[in-house]
Amino acid sequence: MTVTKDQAREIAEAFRKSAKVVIKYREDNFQKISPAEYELLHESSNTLLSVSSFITTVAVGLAIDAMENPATELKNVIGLAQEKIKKIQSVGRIIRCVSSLVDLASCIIAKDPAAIVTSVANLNKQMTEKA
Amino acid sequence: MRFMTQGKRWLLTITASCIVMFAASCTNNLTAVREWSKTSLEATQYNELVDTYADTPARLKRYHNSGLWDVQIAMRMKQAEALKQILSVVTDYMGALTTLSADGTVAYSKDVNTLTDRIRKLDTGISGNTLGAVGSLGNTLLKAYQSKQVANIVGEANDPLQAILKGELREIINRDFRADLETEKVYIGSYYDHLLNKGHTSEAAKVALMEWKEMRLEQNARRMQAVAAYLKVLDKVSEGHQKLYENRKQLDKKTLIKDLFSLANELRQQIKILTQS
Repeated sequence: MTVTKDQAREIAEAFRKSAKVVIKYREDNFQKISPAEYELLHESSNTLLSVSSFITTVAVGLAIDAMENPATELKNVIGLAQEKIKKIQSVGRIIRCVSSLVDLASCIIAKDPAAIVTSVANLNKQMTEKA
Repeated sequence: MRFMTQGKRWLLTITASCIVMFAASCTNNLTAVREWSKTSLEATQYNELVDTYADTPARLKRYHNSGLWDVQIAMRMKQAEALKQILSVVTDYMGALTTLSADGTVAYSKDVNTLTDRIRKLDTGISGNTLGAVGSLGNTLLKAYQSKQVANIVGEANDPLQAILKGELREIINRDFRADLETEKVYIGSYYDHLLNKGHTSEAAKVALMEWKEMRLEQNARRMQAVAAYLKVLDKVSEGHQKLYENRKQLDKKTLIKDLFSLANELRQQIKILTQS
C-alpha cells in the first residue's frame, strides 16, 4: 500500500491526537488507576507520539520528492540570469575596445609613434581580454 | 580639423538630445527591485529551522527511549540536506536577481566618459554638449537593456519559484515542521507531568522539574515563532515576486516601487524575529 504525503500527514496527526487523549486520561485519573496502569498508559502515549513523529518524517520525504521539478526549473533560470549578467558585462568590454580604438586614432592623427605603440598594445589587450 | 559643417553639428546635437530624452523615458529605476531581492536573499538564508527539524528526534530521545529515533535521525539528516539545497536554489536566484539589478552591473559611466573624452581630443568639431549627450545615451541605453534582462528573468522564474514558495516548501514548514514541534510539546508536558506525578520527589525536586518543564516549553515556543516568521518570509518573497512578474514591463511603476520597499521592510522585521529565536 502506498501512502500519499497528505495521507501521511493525516495519519501523523491522528496518532498525535490519540496520544494527547491517552495522556489526558492518564493525568486526570492518576489517583484512581494503579501505578502499573499509569506506567502502561505513559508508555503507550510515548509509542503513539514516536510513531506520529516517524510518519511526519515519511510525509516530509514524500513532499521533498514532489519539489524536485520546480527546483530544477529554477536552477535553469539561475543559469540564464548568470549568462545575462555576463552579456551585460561584455557590453562594457565593447565600450572599452571602442575607446581604445579612438585612442589609437587620436595617436595616428597626432603622429605620435610612441603613443601609437602603447595604444596598439592597449587595444590588443582589450580585444583579447576574456569575457 | 573640422569634419562637420555647422548645420550638421546642430542636427547631430538635436538628434542626440532627442534620443537621450527618448531613452531616458524607457529607463527603469531598479533600486526597489535590488532592495527587495537583496532582503529576500538575506531572509531566506535563515534556514536554522531545517536543522531544528533534523535535530528533533535527538531531542525527543531524552523523553522516550525508542529504536525509532536513530532510524529517524538518519532519514532526517538526508532530508535536511535536500531541503537546504532547495532553499539554496531560492537564495541563489535572489542573489542573481540582486546582481542583475545592481548599479555595478552596468556601471560603465567611467568607460563611456573615457570614450567621449577621447573623441573630444580628436577635435572632430562635435560640441561638448553633444559629446555629453552621447555619453549619457550610452549609459541610459545600457540601463534600459539591464531592465529588459531583469524583466525576462523574472518572467522565466515566476512559475517554478511560486511552485516552491507557495507549494510543497510552504506545506512542509507549515504542516510538518509545526506538527513536529507540536509532538515535542506534547512529549515535554507528558514527560515532566509523569515525573511529577510519580511521587517520591522532594519539594525542591518538584520545583526544579517545574522550572525545567517551563524552560523546555519556552524553547519549543521560540521554535514555533521561528516557523511562523519563516512562513511570513516565504509569503512576502512570493508576493513580491508575483508583483514583479505582473509589472515586469513597467519596473519603474510607482506602486510597484512602493510595494517592493514595503515588502523589504516587512522582511527585515521577520529577519529580526528569526535572529532572536
